Amino acid sequence: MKLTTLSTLGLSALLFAAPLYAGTLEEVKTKGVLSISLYKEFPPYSSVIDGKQQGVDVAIAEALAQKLGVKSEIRLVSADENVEDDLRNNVWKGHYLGGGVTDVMLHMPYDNAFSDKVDKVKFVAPYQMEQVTFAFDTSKVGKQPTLANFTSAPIGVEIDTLSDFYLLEALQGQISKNIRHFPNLTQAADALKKGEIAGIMGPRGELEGVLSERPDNIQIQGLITPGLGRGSWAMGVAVKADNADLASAVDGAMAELVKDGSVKKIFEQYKLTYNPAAEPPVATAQK
Amino acid sequence: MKQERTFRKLLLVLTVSCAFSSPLAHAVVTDQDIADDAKTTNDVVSYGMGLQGQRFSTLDKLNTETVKNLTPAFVLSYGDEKQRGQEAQPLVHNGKIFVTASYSRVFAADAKTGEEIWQYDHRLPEGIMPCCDVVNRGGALYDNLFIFSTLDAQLVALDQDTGKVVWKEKMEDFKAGYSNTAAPIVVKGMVITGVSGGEFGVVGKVEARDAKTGKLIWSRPTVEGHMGTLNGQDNGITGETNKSWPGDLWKTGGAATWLGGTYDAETDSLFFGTGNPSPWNSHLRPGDNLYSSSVLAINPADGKIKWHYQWTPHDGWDFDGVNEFVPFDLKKDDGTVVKAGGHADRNGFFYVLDRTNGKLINATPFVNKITWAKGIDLKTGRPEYDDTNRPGAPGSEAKGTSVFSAPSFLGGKNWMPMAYNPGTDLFYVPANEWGMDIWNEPISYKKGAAYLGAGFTIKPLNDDYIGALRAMDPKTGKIVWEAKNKAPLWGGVLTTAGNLVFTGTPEGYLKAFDAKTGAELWKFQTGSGVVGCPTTWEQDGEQFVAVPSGWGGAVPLWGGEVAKTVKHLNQGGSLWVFKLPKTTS
Repeated sequence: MKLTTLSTLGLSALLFAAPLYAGTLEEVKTKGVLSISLYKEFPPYSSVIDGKQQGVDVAIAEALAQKLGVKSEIRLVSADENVEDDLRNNVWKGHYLGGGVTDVMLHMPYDNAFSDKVDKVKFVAPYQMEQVTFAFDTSKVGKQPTLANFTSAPIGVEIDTLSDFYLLEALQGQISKNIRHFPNLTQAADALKKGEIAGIMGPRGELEGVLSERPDNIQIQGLITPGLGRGSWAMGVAVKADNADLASAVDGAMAELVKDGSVKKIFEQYKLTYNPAAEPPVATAQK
Repeated sequence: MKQERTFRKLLLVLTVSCAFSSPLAHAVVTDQDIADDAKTTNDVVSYGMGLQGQRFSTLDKLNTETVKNLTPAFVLSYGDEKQRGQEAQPLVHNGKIFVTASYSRVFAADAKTGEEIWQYDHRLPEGIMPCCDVVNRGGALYDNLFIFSTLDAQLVALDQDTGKVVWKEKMEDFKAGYSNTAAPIVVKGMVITGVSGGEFGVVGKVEARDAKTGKLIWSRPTVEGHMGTLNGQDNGITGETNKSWPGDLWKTGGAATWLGGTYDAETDSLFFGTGNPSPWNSHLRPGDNLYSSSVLAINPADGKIKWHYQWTPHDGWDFDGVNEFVPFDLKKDDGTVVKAGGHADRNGFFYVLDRTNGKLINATPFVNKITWAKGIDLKTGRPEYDDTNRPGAPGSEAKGTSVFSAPSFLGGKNWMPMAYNPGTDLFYVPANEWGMDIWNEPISYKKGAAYLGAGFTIKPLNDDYIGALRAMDPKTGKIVWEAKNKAPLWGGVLTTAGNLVFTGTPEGYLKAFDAKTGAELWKFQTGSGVVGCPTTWEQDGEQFVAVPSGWGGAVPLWGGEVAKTVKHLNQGGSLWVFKLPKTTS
């Protein structure tokens, strides 16, 4: 089933608005609206809290639209099996259940090796570097734990993620029996606070977000992860490949937002560490 | 002559007595009607044309001689802009034909004229997550109800006369990734269903509900460690916790029962197949991972597992074990008859099991190329793996070695049901010849984050065909005949006492073959690909054949190189009905 799975972007656009389509820069300016896809239920980046779209990506999307001199129209979408599917559903083709596409999608990898595989979209406007890290309970594993601590102490992951697969095989599989799988990091964070697990492995931004209020005994810190090929990656914006004008306008506008500190300020508002994607990500993968 | 006259008189008497008995008694579908479905010719009240799912009709007016006279009776258009795959099997009762359509729709029409009586459009909520197209495979008739499952994982019972909702039950939370496309079956007044789910974290189960109210009676999870229930009480854990899974992976172990099941009255067993285990990479979950990629024999009284047989232990190729298990009598050369069951798996082997205990009797390839195993050991019942052909472990940064694996994950046979003819003693299997390149993909992303995925491409094995309708002899395990098809076969099969085998093609044809030789005897172009299940019945002395037409399903979505060969096929959405006019039978 896994290989043959599709999730949808939902029918909201069909029900509440005319189907969206990706416009050229001129069309975006004429409409006065930049439509943007962001992942739904994805704190602290994009989610609905108290009926309002909130999060770092929501704020960046709004700032981006403002920089382009238009309004933002944000569509929160379900993540499909992988980013290629998300791009097909939301940027260049649209899901078969309908709803059309948006002009751009945020939180997309900015990675040369990856963009070589995806010719239907252009990846521009790198604005953040994400990396996997750990949250742990110092009362259980001390202040300077190593990965080996989790051969005897339970550690949580979001199911079906890089962290999940890494830990299942790490240290010759010695950690696998101690992994607790959660549908999302919010639930893993609850378990950590309740003392049910001793640590969590996951992306830094998400961990800082779901643990923004945490007791003193919970610490967020990187650990040495032997055998993990790539623990960090840059995030940018995806635009349909034949939409060069819009791609370059988005690229330019985001560069200004990064340079003038606007993006950093947004991260600070959400109490998150900001790492700019100043350097293009290291293409450690072989082609 | 004399004999025939007596017979006619008898028929007349029967007809008259029926006419004078209460019409209401005939209006509703009873457990007896369902139990007798394979024998009665004037209706089709269950998916599989009988709960054993043999898809065999005793009708023989339409036969190898007369099939050339089969002509269209009517076509019912599903209308709307909603098209995509039409995979259903129609049902017929009381002069009405019922068929489900894509996007969880149902149509009821006059079975003779095709005039629509009612249409039900299920309101699908935002955020449904269907796997593999928006298909529906059919419904179940019981009492005055038409019961079917929806893309948002509900079970809906409609009034057969009006199409109005009588009851509606949420089977699972669609927001958690659950969905449903299979046809339910009704056994002893209970509607029996599985679940499908695409998202990680889904665990398969088989459930029984009161068919008149939808109230849950029992539930049986299909992964070891999970608790079953009976009448709201705990009813024992499935298998033994952590016996064949590492850590807590059993909690999210997969094994979805997404294709429904069959039932055998002789052994009083439900047979439900299960999907592949999670996570997809087998190196992360050492062990057999029970009861993924298996068939379970379940007691309908309490939902307890009687026995299991695992087609693909420790699956690493995405070989769902959901394909139907069809009970039949294996007539051996020494004159003995074994209560057996036949199954054509994704993994390319055709299995015959003793259905009283799940013991393997025989397993032979029904496709020409199988790379993942050298064979199935008849003594142990387990595959003899070819370890060099198991997709590698993730984790390394470099692109892993590409493994060519056949069959592809779409299987030697996918969901489309085969048929068994007790007259020819042959199974008719809609097979496909394709393989896949599969490799670890270090440069992949999921939900904006780096990920360790797998890459795959499906490839045809031959230049001239992918599909092959194959007649399998369950006694010898040999292929008796085959009829090749350029595009992959994706529709169900029907066989009849008239020595015919019917199936559809993505190219748009409904075709009839000689059941003994495989010779193509008749075909009709329906205007869109046929991926539905044909069925047949008799009304007012004429034999009818019905099949949905409408190209879609998993192939155009996932077919890789194969998708190119089917790109030109147009979508559609209609029910085609044919008949053999009285004068020509």
